[in-house]
Amino acid sequence: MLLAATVAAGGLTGACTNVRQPDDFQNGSIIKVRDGLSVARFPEKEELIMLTDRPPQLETPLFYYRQDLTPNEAFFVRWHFSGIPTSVDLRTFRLDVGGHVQKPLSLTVDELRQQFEPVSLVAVNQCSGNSRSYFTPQVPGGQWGHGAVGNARWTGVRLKDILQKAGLKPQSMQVTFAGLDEPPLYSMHKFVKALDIDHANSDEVLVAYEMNGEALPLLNGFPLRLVVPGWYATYWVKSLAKIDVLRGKFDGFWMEKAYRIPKNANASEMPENLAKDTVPINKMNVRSILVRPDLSDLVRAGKPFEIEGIAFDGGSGIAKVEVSLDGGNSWNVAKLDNADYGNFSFKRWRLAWTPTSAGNYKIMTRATAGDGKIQGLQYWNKSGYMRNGIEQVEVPVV
Amino acid sequence: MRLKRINLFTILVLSAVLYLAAQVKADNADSKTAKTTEDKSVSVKSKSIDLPYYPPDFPPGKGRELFISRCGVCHSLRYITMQPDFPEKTWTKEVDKMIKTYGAHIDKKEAREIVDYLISIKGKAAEKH
Repeated sequence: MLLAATVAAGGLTGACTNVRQPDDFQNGSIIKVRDGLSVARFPEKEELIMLTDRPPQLETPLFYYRQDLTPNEAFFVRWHFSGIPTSVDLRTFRLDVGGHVQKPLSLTVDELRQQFEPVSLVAVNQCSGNSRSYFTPQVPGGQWGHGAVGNARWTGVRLKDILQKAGLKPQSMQVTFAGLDEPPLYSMHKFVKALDIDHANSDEVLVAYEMNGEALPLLNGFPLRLVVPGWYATYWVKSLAKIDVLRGKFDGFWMEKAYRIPKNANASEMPENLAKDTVPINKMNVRSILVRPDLSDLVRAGKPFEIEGIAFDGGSGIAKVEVSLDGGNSWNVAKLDNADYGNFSFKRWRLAWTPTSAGNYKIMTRATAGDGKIQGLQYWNKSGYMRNGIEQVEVPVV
Repeated sequence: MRLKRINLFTILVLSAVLYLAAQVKADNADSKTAKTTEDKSVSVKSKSIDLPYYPPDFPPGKGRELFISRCGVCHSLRYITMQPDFPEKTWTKEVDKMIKTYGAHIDKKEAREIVDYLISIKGKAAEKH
């Protein structure tokens, strides 16, 4: 009877109403997943939210952001092609540096560790499409919640030191980066990204061999990963194996056709009027994410509760975070944590809250960056990139 | 003599149990950690993992087999499982992108059948603006 009613009411989309949902792995997990997703465990990983398995795309549950650094085992995973490296032998692995240089290099991981000054920094790594699933109208692509982001301490060598050793020839314009991953068909373009020469030569861009004090997990780019603090993760090429210096501008697919944003202040466009001028996605915009309450957190009327969350931007740092408990009518200034991991890191924040009565509360958070940029309206783009509008979460108080 | 036989049997059984237990432990370790190999010539251990696969189910319908065989060549069908419902225009564009941009081996007639199947499982009416 119930079945018949569902089918009758279902219409076109009703076809999938009665299909077994892939929730086999969800049973017994505290992790809440959105429709069409499951939780799963992959090598070197905790139980994470699985978007896809081939290639793996895994999302970090929000409760992992209740600490400054995101554990390697919980760090989100995103690859483009099914041909990802599952085995790397460091006796044969080389990082090749070539193109428009005086002396091409072919370095082992040991040589990188021994011949260059080690550098460490904490930086946020966020997918361009983090939070894509919340756009209206919805857009196709990886249906991420807020968990395609992580904060880690990256240790490695400065890219500029490697480039200096290879010796840049005059009029070098861009540097390209390619990893060990390969597309499944020859007709597809290998995943290659590019940075302008000045950016590549800046102090903060690293070739990292450690993440939070350990070798990187294979799924996060073992043995080497490009670290581009303040920029979206699409530039943080994993299993980095080839660096090429170019005299001209790189015209590869992954810069010229993919990962493009509308060329305007808020990277915005309309579904019926798409932007004609686009540029490659670049620096991250300012945003904040509510981390607590979440899941089974019970908020009780008359009892003190600590709201907490994270905030970050493209490197100017976080100046202020405000929290509204009434759907945006009034705002309270949150307390920023004292821990200082630098401007590229998560800034965690808290707000003491004792709800006076039971009911549903609309919690909103709004971050202001060091450069004065502040979160506001949510803009739309067809790729679902750079989401940073003020989010509202409905929280029941009992 | 009898005692000896029992002992031999017990030892055999015990060894088998221990061996199996070690296997189970090794399997569990494989699923959680990477296999690492140490070699004196390099200071960092090499790594190797086995990826698990979780193929999703899809309801019967015209085009299901074609959809599974053509799309599954390159990527997990979870790419579809995770999508919200989209209008026909969006699904047509997506399949077209797979053919034109990525070179998927799908001819026109097959593309139509795949789009129809996608609409049957993840379709919705066009949005009005």
